[in-house]
Amino acid sequence: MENRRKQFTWLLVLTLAGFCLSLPPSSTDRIKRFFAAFFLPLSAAQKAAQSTAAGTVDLSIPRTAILTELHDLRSTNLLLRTEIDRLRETTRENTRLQQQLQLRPPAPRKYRLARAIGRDTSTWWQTLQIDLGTNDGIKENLPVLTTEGLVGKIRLPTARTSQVALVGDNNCRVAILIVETRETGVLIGGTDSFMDHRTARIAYLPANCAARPGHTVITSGMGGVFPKGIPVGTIHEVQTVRGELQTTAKIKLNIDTAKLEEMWVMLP
Amino acid sequence: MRPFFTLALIANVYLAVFIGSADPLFRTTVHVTINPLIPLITAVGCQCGLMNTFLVAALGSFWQTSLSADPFAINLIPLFAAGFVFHQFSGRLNMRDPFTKFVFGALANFSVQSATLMLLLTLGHTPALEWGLLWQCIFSSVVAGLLTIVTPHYLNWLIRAF
Repeated sequence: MENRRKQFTWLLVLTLAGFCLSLPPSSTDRIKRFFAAFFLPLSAAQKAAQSTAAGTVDLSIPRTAILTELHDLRSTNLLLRTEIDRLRETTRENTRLQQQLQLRPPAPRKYRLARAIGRDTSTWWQTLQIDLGTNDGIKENLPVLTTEGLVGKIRLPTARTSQVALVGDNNCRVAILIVETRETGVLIGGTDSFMDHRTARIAYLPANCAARPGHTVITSGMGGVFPKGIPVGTIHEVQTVRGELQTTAKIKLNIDTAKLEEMWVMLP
Repeated sequence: MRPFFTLALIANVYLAVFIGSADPLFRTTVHVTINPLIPLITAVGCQCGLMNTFLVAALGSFWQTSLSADPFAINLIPLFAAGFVFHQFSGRLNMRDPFTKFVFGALANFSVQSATLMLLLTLGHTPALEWGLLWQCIFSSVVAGLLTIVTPHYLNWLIRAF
């Protein structure tokens, strides 16, 4: 009797696993969204707790510190306003030149602030959960960034949460451009370092690549997912192999993916 | 089957998956993802019936993979296998000794992770295979081993309470 029960349970497990793994990706995505929705109440509670904690910390800041920061911010604001005026003039000039050359100007972008509410439950993927979903206008493949640089792209949005495939994950390959040399490559995941989440690899650089450590890496805009010009990182090491048709490089990412808390989703 | 205990068990699976996903401590300090579900399933395998083990493995796998880039239910077989081994050999293992619990908990964690990774590679997925992964597996196994020492006590309390 006991053996029959064991056999039955194993049969059940194998059938269920076989069925789930043989489903087409569109169906599994729907099922995943359904099961991920169970965590909405806990995610909302976590978000509320984070806001309360942040509010409590804010209350404990002394008035003098706030006034000093306010003074600093006013000075920075003044500088930035001057800079914005200068950039507005440059943008106008750029638009005029683009019109003369009959180039289509890039569409203006909107951003939405998102908070990280969870990470991937597996060790081998680099993804995180954010508190924005389809109800907030989030769609698959939208770029996610911070003021420091590129974070990744949206995968599997549910009604109120979404998964973000981070830069360096195998599901988030990024077409990049090295600013100083104008050479292009593809940012792929993975480094050999134990506890470093800030390095990744660039592949498919030209064989006679002129890139050097310290050079700036931005998105190239190729591939259509990430617009051109988002900062990604700086070259850390260039690895040229004699006889190879391509060069690879190690890159120090601008963002530390393990410590991300807030980020912006770039809306279409 | 005791319905209240089963419900409590499901709530614990849910919390274990959420803690694994939301934990900021290990992720920011040592860059490691912990999985409290494996200590739970080993304890359930030892102390509860096979159907409860199946329930924990199935729901745990569904919830865990819904918060991950893993294919849906990829870790169902490894999780259930870990629970089944503990269910099958619980009488022969000296699970009163904390060190034995630690060793078997760590081994279970390492085996589940390795088996899931093998399944992923067999199915043609391309997870990030690098040396850092080995460090993460070893560290998370140590944490799982430590959790395996205390989880049976907690489960005993849960059995008595419901």
